[in-house]
Amino acid sequence: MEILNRKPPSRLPVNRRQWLKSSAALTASWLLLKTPGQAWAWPGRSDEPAGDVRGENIQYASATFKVDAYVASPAGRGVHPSLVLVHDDQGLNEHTREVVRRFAAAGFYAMAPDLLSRSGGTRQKSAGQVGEALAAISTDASVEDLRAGCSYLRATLNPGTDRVSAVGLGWGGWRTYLLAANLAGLSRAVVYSGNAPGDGLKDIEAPFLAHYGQFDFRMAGNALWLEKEMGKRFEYFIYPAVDHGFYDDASPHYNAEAAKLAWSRTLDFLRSTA
Amino acid sequence: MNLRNRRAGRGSKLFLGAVVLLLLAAIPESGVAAEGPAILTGSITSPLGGKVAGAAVSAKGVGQTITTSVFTDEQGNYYFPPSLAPGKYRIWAQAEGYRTARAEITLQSELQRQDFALTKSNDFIQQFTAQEYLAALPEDTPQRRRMKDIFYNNCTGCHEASYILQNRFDEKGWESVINLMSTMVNGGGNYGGPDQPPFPAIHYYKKELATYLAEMRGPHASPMQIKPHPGPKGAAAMTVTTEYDVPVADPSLFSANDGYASNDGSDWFLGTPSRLNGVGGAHDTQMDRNGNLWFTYAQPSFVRSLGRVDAKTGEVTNIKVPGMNGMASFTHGLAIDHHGFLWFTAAGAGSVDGGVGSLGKIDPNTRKFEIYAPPRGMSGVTLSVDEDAKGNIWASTAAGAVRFDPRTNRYTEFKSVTPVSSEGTGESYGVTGDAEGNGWWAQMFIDRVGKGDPLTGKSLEVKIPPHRALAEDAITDQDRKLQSLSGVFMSDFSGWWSQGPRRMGADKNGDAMWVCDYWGGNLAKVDIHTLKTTLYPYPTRESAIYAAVVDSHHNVWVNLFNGDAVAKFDPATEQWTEYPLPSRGVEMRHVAISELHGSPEAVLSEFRVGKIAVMHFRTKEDLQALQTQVQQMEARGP
Repeated sequence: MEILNRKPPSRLPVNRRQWLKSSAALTASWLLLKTPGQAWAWPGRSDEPAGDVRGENIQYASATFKVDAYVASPAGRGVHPSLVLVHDDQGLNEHTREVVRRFAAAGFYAMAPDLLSRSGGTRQKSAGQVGEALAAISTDASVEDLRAGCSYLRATLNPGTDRVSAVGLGWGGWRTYLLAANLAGLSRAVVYSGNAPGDGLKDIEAPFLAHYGQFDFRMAGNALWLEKEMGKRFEYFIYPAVDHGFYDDASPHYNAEAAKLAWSRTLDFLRSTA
Repeated sequence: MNLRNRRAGRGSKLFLGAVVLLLLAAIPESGVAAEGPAILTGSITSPLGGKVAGAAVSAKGVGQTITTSVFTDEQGNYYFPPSLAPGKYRIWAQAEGYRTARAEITLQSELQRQDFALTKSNDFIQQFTAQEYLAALPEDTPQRRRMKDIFYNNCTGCHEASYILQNRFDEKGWESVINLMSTMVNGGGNYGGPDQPPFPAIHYYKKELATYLAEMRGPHASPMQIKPHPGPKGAAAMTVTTEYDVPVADPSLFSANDGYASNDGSDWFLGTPSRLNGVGGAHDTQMDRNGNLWFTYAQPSFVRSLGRVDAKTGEVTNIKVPGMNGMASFTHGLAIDHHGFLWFTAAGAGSVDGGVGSLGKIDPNTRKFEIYAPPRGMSGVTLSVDEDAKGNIWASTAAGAVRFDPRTNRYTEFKSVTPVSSEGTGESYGVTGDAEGNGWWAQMFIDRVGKGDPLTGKSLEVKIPPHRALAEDAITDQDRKLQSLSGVFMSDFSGWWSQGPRRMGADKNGDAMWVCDYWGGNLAKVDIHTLKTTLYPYPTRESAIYAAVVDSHHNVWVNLFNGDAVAKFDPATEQWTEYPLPSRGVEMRHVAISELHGSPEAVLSEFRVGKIAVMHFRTKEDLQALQTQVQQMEARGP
């Protein structure tokens, strides 16, 4: 079918591309589909409060860019296991910082890079602008910034650390798989309700743990494919009768019991050296 | 072209006179004026001289937008009703396994004969309906049954199987298609970007599916059983179908054959067209009390929420209900109430929260509409609408159904007993109101039917028993596990045992509610008092019965999504009759029955190919009278 190059009538503020976008949005709503990728993505309040852990904003270099990040380290001196937290589709906001502090309270030197740094940073954007800005950031750029963050953690912030792990929340899940495929020596990785790339998973060496709500069918359903691709390096849990965002105390689907269980499994997994 | 005209042969002289006047007014410019409508007749023969029964014969006025079609009887003869206005016509005859035969005639006498001698075609698979493609997929081994089920479960929730199986690709080609499909935004046909989670089952089975499809529809010889199917016979061949072309709603965004579909399904060899051409979208249909046709429009548009087809001239008028962002509201369900008002579901129209669906009502005479938004805090209207026998309007929602009382403009909400289960999510699809004022809704993904009882304000539910998978003996533990994780969803995975109750119709004068089990291929009857459920299998499960409606004689009518046909189920005899349309690849999503002209007529939308159709059911006596009339006219000579 030939598509006309003619412009639509001037009264219509659209072109065919926009029409198709509208088509997608409308038909998605028509079919009652939950919008994918709009993840609520922070682990819920646990029995391990952030305590007196204090975090700070830092910057590190990635290619020719400066990446904003938030870091928190456990109380007490010494070398700690390190962790990079890959934020969800809300960017690096206050709640993500709180999750960083929680990991620090649990014994990890934790850092959450702001993957919007290349376009001004999360702080510069309204909540409505964050999603659009994230969609415009290439996954390659995000992986580059995450890799640089891991190096900075290992070499500068927490020198001597022998373990750097990654945790991806929702939108950050995809980037966590990519980071693992592109960073030798990543210790372990955890993904909460995150999507995964369609290829390249066979290159991943780090063990993965994934958490899914049973009613988050479209995410949970892909666990079997991931298992097929990654074999024994992939482990997952399905939390019965809970939906997407069950682990996030800001989500309407938050479920304290399941969230607590997922959090304890995450810590056990990250601490394990087996 | 009005269906009333076809009945003139046995109607009163006064009525016939009125019809003639109407038809004279509708003579095409290119036509030749004559005294009145003529009878077009003829016979269809095969290359060996035998008669071809069940062949479709269609006539379309040159420059016109209305096509009339009939089928040949068992003697290979066809008889158009005496309602074709004089003028120039294109006529074509089709039967599977033969090339399409065409003629152009000027209809000017009382009786005109046009015979066709068909020639064989060796490459006729493009003529198949989706059901015929599916039936040709072999089931001779457990693994082939398993793969057929996987294909059916994954790929036919949104489009007719013919759209897929008309193509041939090698394994790599099929994998590319499947990869893209796994990341589609539901229903929109758009790539969802890297963050769109792939549909789990399509993703999981993609390699197996690509291998299977390349074997069935690939570069090499296929084990499919490809043979031409005989056309309809008996009552199924007595229909007269009038199809009205619907122009593209937003022609500035698309170019399609001067504003109409370039493939409108009328030439079976052209196969099933894409929907990304702006042609499709006519969803639900109804006939108003003047005999004109109305349809909802389930595609984004700036100009069309509803369409009205003038049944005499074929003229299509757009009605825009303001929706979001300057667009026309997106409509889906359509019902006609006992006053003759039309009710529709409208997304993004007049809602309190923006984007939540509302009910709309339009007066077909004045074309004025009103929008009734559910109050804040209540679920929005989604897909389907129906009137109960007490005059209340029921509409489906994501959480169950709402009842709207047009006398008080008051909404009442009924929520599903099971909103989500391990089988999938519980959104409602179809809805209906019954003889006692109860409402019913279908939870397609979790095989449940909800009942809302206005007397108690409570909801009940009926669980439809599972369907037996074709590949019951070949389903692996991993297959079972995948189903348990993926859940059932329309555009991804219907599951091995899903019935898929889709759209429904209650008997307004009886105690039954009927729902089409789309994937299971059963028509389910639910007793509105006892909730007892009885399943009546459709003879060919792959036909995918979709929506049900009940006529005043308690007969249940369904449309066949994969069959390009409607079917009637007589509950007294438990017999089915399947009535094919003369077009292919139409992807019908609704059936309405109008009894405006006495006996039932099916009012249908040909969603994918941009046409609205009315199917009139002639009786044996009707045809015998016509045959006698033809014989007498032929005996009289020219």
